[in-house]
Amino acid sequence: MPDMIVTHRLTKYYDRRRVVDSLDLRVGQGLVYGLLGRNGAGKSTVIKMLLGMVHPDYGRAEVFGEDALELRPETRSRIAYLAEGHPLYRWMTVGEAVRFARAFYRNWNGRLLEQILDHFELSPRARVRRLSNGQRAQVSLALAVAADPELLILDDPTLGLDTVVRRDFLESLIQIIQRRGRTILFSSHILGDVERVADRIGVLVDGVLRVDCPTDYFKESIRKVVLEFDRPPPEFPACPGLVSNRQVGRKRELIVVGYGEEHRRLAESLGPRAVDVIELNLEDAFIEYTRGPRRALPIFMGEASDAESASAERVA
Amino acid sequence: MLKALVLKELRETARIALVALAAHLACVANCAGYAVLPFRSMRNVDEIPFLDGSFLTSFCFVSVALAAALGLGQTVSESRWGTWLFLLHRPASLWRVLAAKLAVGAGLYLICGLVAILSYAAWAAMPGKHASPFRWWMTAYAWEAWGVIAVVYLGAFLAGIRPARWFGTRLLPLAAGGLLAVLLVFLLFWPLVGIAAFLLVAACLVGLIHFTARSRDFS
Repeated sequence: MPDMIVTHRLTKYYDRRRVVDSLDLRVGQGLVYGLLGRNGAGKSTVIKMLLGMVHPDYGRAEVFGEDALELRPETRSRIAYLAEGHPLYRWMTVGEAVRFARAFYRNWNGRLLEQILDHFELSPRARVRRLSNGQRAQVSLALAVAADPELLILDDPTLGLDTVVRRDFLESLIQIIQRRGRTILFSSHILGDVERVADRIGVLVDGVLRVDCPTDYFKESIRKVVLEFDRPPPEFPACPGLVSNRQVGRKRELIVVGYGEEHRRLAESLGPRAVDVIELNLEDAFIEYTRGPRRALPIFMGEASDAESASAERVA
Repeated sequence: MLKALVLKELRETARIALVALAAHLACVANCAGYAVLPFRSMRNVDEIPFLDGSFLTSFCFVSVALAAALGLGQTVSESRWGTWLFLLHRPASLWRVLAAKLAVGAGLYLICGLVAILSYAAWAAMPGKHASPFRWWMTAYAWEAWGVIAVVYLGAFLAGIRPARWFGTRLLPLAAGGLLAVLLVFLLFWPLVGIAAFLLVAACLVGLIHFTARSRDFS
């Protein structure tokens, strides 16, 4: 499976703050990749660097094998990009926006565009400035898909949309994915959305890619371990895979990546009254992984098929 | 593709150009003695069209305002609404996008000025309108001003596209454009030198605009 997106040590500073730090990322053809991170984690900057809108201070990004800063117009026509906030010309009507965008593409699927606009009940006469955020997102999606792109890059596409519109938007996205097996890279901080569509996720923490693995693997890797004591809980010793460790009354709560025999043995050595190992959903796993005073531990994995072998090797 | 870009630019800038054209024509009417503006007609019966300075003053004022509004309007509005990201991701080269913008902006500026000068010249050429003959050489200063103020447009465009932290530094290219325009007026005492200098300055500014757009971050 060829890589559509490859970055090598991609780094960006704003002022003196490093917002993206030595990012190595590969997104293979046909994959739906969810880029996660808290606000300010560097997701939008990464996406803009992939499209040549922002210049990296170090490293390089390649899309379809071309340097992102030197993308040819023919290559751009194979990439659809939905920028955060869905910027469109406010003075245009939907019909004018369609005519403007259509002029740039050879493979313009006007019929599909009409179907999408009909589906969303968007009139070509409607002024863009009078559309709601959700409707603008729908117009942007329709324009992006009509160009028949091989790669869709979406920067927080559901930001600011209400639950119903968001669900509708995602349903459409899923249909698009199923139509032609397109490659999609999208950033989001709404974990439910990611869980529904992404095959693989990357988690950026302070500009560093700390997780790059299949979505299910991420959920399965993280466990919350609650140790209950009859006395004030003792300190838990540092060990590989320990992400966070906090005391809550007479309990000690641990977040552990790749919970296994060694962690169980260490926990029991402290003599707790009870040990509770809790599975987390993606949202809880993400929250527990990205918050906390300590730097999160990395989770990396190659292909989904080598999940077991890679996990043992790559968890720090 | 180029047609779509040009039409978009025309739609976005037409309002500015129409306002400027109306202002130009109002000034022409005032200079010709028709008091269409609320203030007193600027024309006295013994003044010679184009040489007495009243037309040139109002022409320069409106032209500089138009040039600055066009240059800034074409760039700052894209930044304000975040549409650079939409525009620059269209499969067209950056140069083509900029060329469409500059061609429309400069074209509108030149057309507005052209209409103003020709209208005033047409009035001045009519017999019995003023107490002097009319010769085309009398319009030379107006044409010079028309040409050199195009540099202000390029300076304003550069100011709008250039990232800066505060207005003072942002407006530097606009101020530089104004200064260069004044210098070019003096150089035009030697027409060939003046024209060569104008072309050089314009080419440098267009090159700087392209370089700035290529090297800046659109975030």
